[in-house]
Amino acid sequence: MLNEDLLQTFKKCLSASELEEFFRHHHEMMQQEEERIRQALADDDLPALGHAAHKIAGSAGTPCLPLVYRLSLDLNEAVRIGHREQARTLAAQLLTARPKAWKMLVDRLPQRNPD
Amino acid sequence: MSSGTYSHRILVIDDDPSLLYLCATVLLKEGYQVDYAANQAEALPALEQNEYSLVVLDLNLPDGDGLEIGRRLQQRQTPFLVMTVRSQPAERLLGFESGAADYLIKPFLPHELTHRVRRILPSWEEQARQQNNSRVPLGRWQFDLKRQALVAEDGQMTRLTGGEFKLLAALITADGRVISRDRLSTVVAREEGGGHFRTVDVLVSRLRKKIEDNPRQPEIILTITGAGYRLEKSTDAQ
Repeated sequence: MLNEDLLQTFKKCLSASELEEFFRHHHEMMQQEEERIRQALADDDLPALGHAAHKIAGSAGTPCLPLVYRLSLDLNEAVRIGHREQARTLAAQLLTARPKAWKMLVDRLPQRNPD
Repeated sequence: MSSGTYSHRILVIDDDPSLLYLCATVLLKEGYQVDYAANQAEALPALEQNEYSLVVLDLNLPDGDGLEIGRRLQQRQTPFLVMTVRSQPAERLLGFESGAADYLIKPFLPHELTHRVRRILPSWEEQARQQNNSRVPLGRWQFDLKRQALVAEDGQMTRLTGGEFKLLAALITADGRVISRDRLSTVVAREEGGGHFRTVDVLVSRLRKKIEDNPRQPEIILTITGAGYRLEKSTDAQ
């Protein structure tokens, strides 16, 4: 769920407050994209699903969350090749995995107030 | 470690706030000036108003094609670094075709960004040194002939209209000698509905507002009563 080495790399580059601010931006964006995924699933909108997966895969903080990263890349690929059912399954897994990974990350950033 | 200088100004264009924050934070620590834009609508005015040493560009912008910005940057000879997601190899190719100096696969680590920026800027600096021949010091400004603009010490760029550019270029070429209004009206004849003395006066007035500290008491573009205008020589070749 967490890539500790990468998290350490970020910790070396950013101060505690910068790290908190960085992940706050990341979390807000993830929440927006999760909402887009829910809407895309409801609308059965495959391109929108792919777009959200693309955004999550490319977001700066995602490598710290390897499962989320892999699911978003797989989802993007499933959309690209038109595997609708596989995409829907991956999207559901992503919606479950991301908040769990975020909670683990928050535990490593003790100064953050989880929401 | 700090390897940049505050003379290098970098624009980062991406709609991911966490990525913008990360880029800005690490580049500032390296000693670069950093601006950022979340979309094309924010990026285009920034590019118009400022001169950047480098642009870090995401091709997938919410309000337009990042490649279009890339083409503009290539025309302006501003180096740019394209950011793409791993699953989009075609984007990388498109980025290079549009003239990108290099690319970064998103998501990337902070060091990757700073290493690539350091690699691009020295080679760009060599180009810039060659381009400096096209710049003429003008008071606290640099008159950039290629870009038809005035560049301030902090990199802020003020665009000139065609008429303003031609008139200023004529005064600089005269190397401190007086040029008559008649001659200047010929120079700007095709611009600004020109061809009249009044047009020359209006253009001079507009230029003074752009370059003079006090346009009412000009120290750069001087009026020589009954003769025309001349550029104060001490300001044009320091």
